[in-house]
Amino acid sequence: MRWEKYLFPASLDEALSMLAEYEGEARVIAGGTDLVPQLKSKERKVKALVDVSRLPELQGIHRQDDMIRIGAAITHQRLASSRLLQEQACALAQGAAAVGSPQIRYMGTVGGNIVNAQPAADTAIPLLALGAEAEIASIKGTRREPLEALYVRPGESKVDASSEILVALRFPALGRRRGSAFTRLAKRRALSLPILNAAVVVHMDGDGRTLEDVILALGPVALTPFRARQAEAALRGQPVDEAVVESALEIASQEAQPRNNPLRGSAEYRREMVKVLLRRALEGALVGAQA
Amino acid sequence: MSEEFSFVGKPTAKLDAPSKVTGQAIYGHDMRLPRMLYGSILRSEYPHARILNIDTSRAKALPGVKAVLTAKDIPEIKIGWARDHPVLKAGKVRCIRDEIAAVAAVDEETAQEALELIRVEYEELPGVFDPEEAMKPGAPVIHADAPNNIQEKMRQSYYHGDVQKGFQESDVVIEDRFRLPFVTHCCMGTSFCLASFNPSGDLTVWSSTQMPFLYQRDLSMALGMPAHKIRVIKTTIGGAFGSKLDMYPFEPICILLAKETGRPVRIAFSREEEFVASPTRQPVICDIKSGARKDGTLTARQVSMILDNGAYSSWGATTPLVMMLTISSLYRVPNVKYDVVVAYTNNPYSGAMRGYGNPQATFVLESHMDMLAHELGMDPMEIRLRNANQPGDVTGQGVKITSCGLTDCIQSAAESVSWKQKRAKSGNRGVGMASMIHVGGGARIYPSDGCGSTVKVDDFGKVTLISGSTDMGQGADTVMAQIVAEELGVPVENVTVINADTDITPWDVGAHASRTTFVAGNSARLAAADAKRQILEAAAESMGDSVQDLDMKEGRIYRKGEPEEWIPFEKMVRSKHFQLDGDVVLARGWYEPPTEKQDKEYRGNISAAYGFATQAVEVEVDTETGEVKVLKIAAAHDVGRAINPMAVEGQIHGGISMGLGYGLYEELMVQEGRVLNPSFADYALPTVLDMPEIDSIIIETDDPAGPFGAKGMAEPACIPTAPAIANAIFDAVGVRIRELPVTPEKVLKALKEKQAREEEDR
Amino acid sequence: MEAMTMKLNGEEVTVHIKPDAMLLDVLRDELRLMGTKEACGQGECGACTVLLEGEPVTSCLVPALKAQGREVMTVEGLASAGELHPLQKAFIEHGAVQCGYCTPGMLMSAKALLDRNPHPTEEEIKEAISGNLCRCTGYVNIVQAIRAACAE
Repeated sequence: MRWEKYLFPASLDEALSMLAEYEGEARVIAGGTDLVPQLKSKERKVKALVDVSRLPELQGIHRQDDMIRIGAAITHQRLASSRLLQEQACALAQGAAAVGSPQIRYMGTVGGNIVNAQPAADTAIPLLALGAEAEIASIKGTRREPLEALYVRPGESKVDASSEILVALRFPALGRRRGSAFTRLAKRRALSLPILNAAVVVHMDGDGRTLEDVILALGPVALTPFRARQAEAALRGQPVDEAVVESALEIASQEAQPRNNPLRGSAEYRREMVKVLLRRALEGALVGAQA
Repeated sequence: MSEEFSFVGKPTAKLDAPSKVTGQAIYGHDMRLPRMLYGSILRSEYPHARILNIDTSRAKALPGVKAVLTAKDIPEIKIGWARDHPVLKAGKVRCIRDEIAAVAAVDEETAQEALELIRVEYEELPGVFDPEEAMKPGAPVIHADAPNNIQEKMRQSYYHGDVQKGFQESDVVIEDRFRLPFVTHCCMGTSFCLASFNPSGDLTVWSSTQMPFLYQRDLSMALGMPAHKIRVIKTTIGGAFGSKLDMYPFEPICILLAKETGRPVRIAFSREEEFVASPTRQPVICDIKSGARKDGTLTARQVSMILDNGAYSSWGATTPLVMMLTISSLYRVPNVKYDVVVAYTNNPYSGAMRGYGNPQATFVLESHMDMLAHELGMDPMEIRLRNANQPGDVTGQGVKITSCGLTDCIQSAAESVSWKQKRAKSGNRGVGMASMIHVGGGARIYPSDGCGSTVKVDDFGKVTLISGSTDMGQGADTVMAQIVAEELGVPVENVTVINADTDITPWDVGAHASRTTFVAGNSARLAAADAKRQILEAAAESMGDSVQDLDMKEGRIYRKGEPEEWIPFEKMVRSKHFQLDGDVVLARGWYEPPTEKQDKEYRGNISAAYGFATQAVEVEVDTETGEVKVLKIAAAHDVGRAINPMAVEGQIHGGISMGLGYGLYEELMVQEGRVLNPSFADYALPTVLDMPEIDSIIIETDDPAGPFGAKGMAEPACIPTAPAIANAIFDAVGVRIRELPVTPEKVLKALKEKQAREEEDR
Repeated sequence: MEAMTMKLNGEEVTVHIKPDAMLLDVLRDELRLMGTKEACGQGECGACTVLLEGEPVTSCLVPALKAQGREVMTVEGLASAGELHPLQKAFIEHGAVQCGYCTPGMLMSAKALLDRNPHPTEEEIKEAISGNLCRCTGYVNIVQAIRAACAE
């Protein structure tokens, strides 16, 4: 049997105690779009599944002061169609819209996307660029951690889904002079895993020509979602002109280390695409910042 | 032209569409028989290895397992084109598909679990995964009787004219190598077999086969049982595209499990198994040398191919027979030489896939046509028009071209994409075209290329066509119904089509070579004409007229010239029946196309008609990523007559989606004999968002031998697409890709190399 | 075995199932509703699409118990009172069905679209079926059929 019990806790506390009861042999399930294939192929084994998709604490897309909070059980479909996100964090809405297919978007959740720990996940990359922080609940209490810290290696998350529950994600809303964009390279226009994903968030300064801050996130070019920090440093505080941008993109393509992959392409091609995608995402983010 | 017809030429909804849109249609996968068991197959862990030991004891002991078979439990059975393919392997495995053991259990889960309990000890052997490597001395030997790995029985050599002379007479000669990859059918319904013996030892097999009668014969030979004790029933099929044109090991295995257990056994592949174990399109390494005169007239074409036979000989390496038609006869070429060598490797073997070699050959030839045009500074459309086949041509191979709309196809497709305005423009958009020739009136590759039909008309006016033909979803049944309705003179709603049961229907060789409309259609027409004659003869006698003065149309019998005074035809059928010395209306038709079997030099008119097509494509290339976006495809197809225009367009659209995939997206990645991408996630067949605008242009040339002038057209739709795209890319950005699929990486690499060359030249 | 109750095609239905059954298997094997097809079992092709609370999902990946107390619609639920749904009629009339294996999934994705957006653009139609693979039709007639059904 793939699992012996399928449980619907009524609250976050009940969910945590159900997990505790199974002492590591139960696991959280939300949409199941990543977990169920793993259980079917016997990559993972569990005794019980604890379904958190209906928990009230994990719902909602809200703005609270300057932060946007997204419940971990929110589906990609809701992220993609959220007016709030389209206006104030559009890279995330764009990333969510790029996930697999309508069916997967209706079922899959942002929390599941993160805990599945793939370096190119379509919502993880924009969330990284947005500087997201995760709220994680366990029987010991709740803690907050930056998103980046949750990734160990492909398929392995710091969040232990047999005892912890990712509750929500929070990041600063993009206000004036801030913009974001997401771009993706894939083999075909739907039902594809990304060859490369890139998300950029920019923060322009008062004169609108200089980059006060920039975050360049991409994947899969490493074991975890990747920030091109050296390239960011080369852009930060600089005026946005072609020479500066091209030089930073060159740095990014060097610090990202994609490898030869028969399915995704050669290292050389992928490195070249790092530049192209970051350039396009940067252009999109700058447009967003002017608006 | 089609105003004279009541049903032919009218878009007609498919007969089986209502049952399919309600979920009522029963596919093989939906069948559940009482006491049915589920079969599973253990496949090899290595592409080349000796089998030292197989231990099935733990699997046999698993509750719910009713049988476990290995080679030692069955008589030695070898199948396949060269009978080199044991159904269950002992001693040696030669590719990762190799079937080592089979299990029948009470449910799917148990059947799969049992496989995990079978322990096989292997001694891994070095493998060879490239046909050129395989032919080198010292390469691992795959079959003991072919020490140099060459499958000599499949080696072919063809020529007409004298290519050396032809090259001497040329003003331009070009030489290139092309490579075509493994791709696979991706039928939405996976491979399937359900077998059941009755107490007298009669076998019924429910299958998705495209060739019920040849399948029956193949099963008989494989199992050593008389064919008359085998009944093959073709279920509703979830797609075939050529994958069901052979008998594969899993089918005799399924039957042997049924025999062993005394219960019905069903095997249905998982999607992963389908990617790994169902046959592929034949990959090709092709060297071509083409010559032409200054004015664009073709002088010579020399083609040599190396085919990867894979581990066992299946239909894939027989595709040169079809490729030969294109190589000898696409465009007028006075001198042709074609050589093929076929080598075993430890790769998966190939089978038949839509086009049967023609997509590969056409990609090579039509790329080269454009390259010739480029050398000559000629418009690629002009060079094609100059050399286009014309009605009445007899080619060097003895192919007799009757109806031929190639010139019309070229011009119509070009106009639809605004060829003159868009060709050779700067920027990153471009247009390209490619044409094709394919058999459209059967293909005499077997002693009989015929089809039998029976038509019965009952007392209430229901007309049943019992046909040997196979409908695999393409809509053949509906076309047959239209033909019968038209010929007999009854409403098409009165016609039911029954086929695909070897106990009931007359013989047909199978749904391949785009022959069904032509051959089965002609057969149905003959039977319908016979039924009409019987009815009108009865009417003549009853009404005191002579048969020549009567006619029947849309269910009404009337005197010619007096259509308002009619009687319903079923009334005549009843009166013919219910009298002393009465009779029912039971008619027959057998149609064998008037074609020749090829002689030892492969010459002969293999088909009774040939289809032609041209597809013209507009693309846009993203020069930063190398991605190619296809904006529009204009597909002009000479179909003789479109009996069901809706079905014809459906074949064009679907064929284009396959051709698009072949050109840009699809590749079954086989590395060291293993499939790296056995899933829909990693094998990129086109989604709706990848499809361009399509303009389907139906060209009707009214073939003299086809039923109501129709010719086959289903395979042609996927044949010219890939070369048209490659040619359009050249027009757009000046790079020539000689390997499919044309991936963004290949395009970008070629663009950079071109840029580097241009900088060097400065 | 666990009891599972759902509102299936408008009717309340209770089945006793293994707790790890997928919704697709319950529909086909327990309830004998064969209309929904399995073509990959991995959520990668859309053939098994059904509506769960009106939303299109790949039932091969949905644990059946997730539908506990929920509304499910399959292709068998499209026609009502013996009358075909406009989508079904349009698929027949516009040549949108060839082998038919993808058809039930296509219909359900289209139904979900029309329920939330009765007058979609062609782009929106394509987006709605972008997770449904078809190997036979090239999608052209399917898109046309859905457009025609909207016009009703």
